[in-house]
Amino acid sequence: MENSIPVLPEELVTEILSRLPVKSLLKFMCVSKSWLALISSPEFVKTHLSLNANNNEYTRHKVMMFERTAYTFRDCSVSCLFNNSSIRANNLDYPRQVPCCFYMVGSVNGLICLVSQLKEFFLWNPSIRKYKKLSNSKTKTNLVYSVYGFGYDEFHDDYKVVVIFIIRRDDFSLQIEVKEYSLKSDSWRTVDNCPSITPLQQSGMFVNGKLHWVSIIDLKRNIISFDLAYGKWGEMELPCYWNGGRGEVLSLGSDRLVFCDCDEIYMLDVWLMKEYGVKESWMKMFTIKIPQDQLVYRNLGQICLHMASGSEILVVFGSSFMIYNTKGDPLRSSKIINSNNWDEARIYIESLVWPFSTVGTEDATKRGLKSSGCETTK
Amino acid sequence: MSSSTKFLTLKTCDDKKFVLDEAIAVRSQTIKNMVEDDCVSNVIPLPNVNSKTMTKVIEYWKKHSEEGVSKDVLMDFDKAFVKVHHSILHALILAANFLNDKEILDMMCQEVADRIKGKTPEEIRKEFDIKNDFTPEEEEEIRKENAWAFE
Repeated sequence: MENSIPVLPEELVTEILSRLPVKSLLKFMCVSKSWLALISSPEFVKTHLSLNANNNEYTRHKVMMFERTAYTFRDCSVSCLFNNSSIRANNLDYPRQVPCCFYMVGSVNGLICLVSQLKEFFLWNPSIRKYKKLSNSKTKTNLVYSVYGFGYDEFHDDYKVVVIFIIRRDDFSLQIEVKEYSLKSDSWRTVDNCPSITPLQQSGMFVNGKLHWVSIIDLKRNIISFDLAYGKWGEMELPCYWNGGRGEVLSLGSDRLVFCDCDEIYMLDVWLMKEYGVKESWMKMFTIKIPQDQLVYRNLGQICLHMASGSEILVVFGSSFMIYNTKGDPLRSSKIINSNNWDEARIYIESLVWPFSTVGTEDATKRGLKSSGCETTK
Repeated sequence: MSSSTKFLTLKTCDDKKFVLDEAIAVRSQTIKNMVEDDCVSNVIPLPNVNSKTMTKVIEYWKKHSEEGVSKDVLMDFDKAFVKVHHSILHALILAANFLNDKEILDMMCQEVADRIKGKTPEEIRKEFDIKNDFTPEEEEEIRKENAWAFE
């Protein structure tokens, strides 16, 4: 009896494989044709992603740190940060083609969007070490500045990059132009009906299928939102009167909107919109005092939040990781041994999502074999 | 024992009978549905489960139905419970799937995943009894695409 192995049907093999780390899955693609087809199928990629996203121990949630001057990317798991006071981060293989001066636009479903100073966009999945350089968005002349956003359109199963260009007209008045890139069609289109806004946030936050930027709208500071599925613009009020300083929309998980504002003495107010879209549900979570010694050049960098077990929140700012309870009391901090000076941090989920379109690639086997239009980082 | 306790008889594919408190047996969604639909006669046949596997399942059900067992004790029990040969793990996965017991299914699948994640494709083929249907050239090409994963 012992030596005969009961054969498992495909649905149960899927149950087992969807619990594996990405690296093992890439290795097991060469087990057999049926395993290759299974692991590269879009359905499996989604199952695997949703299990990783809902993993309560956060072993598959990673924090990516980017050091601009040294041009290095490192990461470590969120569970490590919650459970250890000092951690050695892994070095990541970055896309070599990416020019060294750039900025992280956003992270969704394991894909990271990067933009260079020349406005070249890259989608990169560090877990599978694949990236794609997007076609050119055609840089505007008389550009004053531009802001970005990256998110997932669940309705069309598509990844989208949005760029808001602020352009100076000949008479020196300002004009808004918006472009949207779709990974599925691998092309840019112009988005109409953008309200007259002055965006105050460099990268839009993706929450609930929409991108959000803090902006000036009709002389008032508010939140402008853009729905990636329906292409509709929306407006939301901020929780409080905000007198300038630093303020931005952040996310807590994939569906909760957070507003942070920070004054000059580094008191950071964190507000949570308990019910998405309902102004009355804004609630002040806490105020934290940011220790001055944690700041690099008095710069906060990108702030990230991550909630664990409903009672602890990881806050990433400057070059430090702090863990607070829900009242805002500092509980402990984590240090990265091999890096103490990064410029940007983002939370991402380990996934098998390919940074290129899957349209017309019916044959999953072929797709697993040849990742067309997509480079491997070395 | 209270007079309201009902017992069910389960019969495995190798004709062994197990008499079990109904309150415990309904941890299986499949059995629960049968009881609720009132289609339980004297004996419930389990054509896909053998007695050896069923003994393990019942051991798990009984422990997890005991009153006043601490979380730590259950965690230790679970740790010991999954320490079995991989053929038994596979049999338990099939049984949990047939009985529709998500708790056991999740635990067993996680255990198999933990055991195989560091293995080579060759070891996986042996463990899952899979025939390699690639030509050497095809296999080489797939390996090259993700060469770093083999480091």
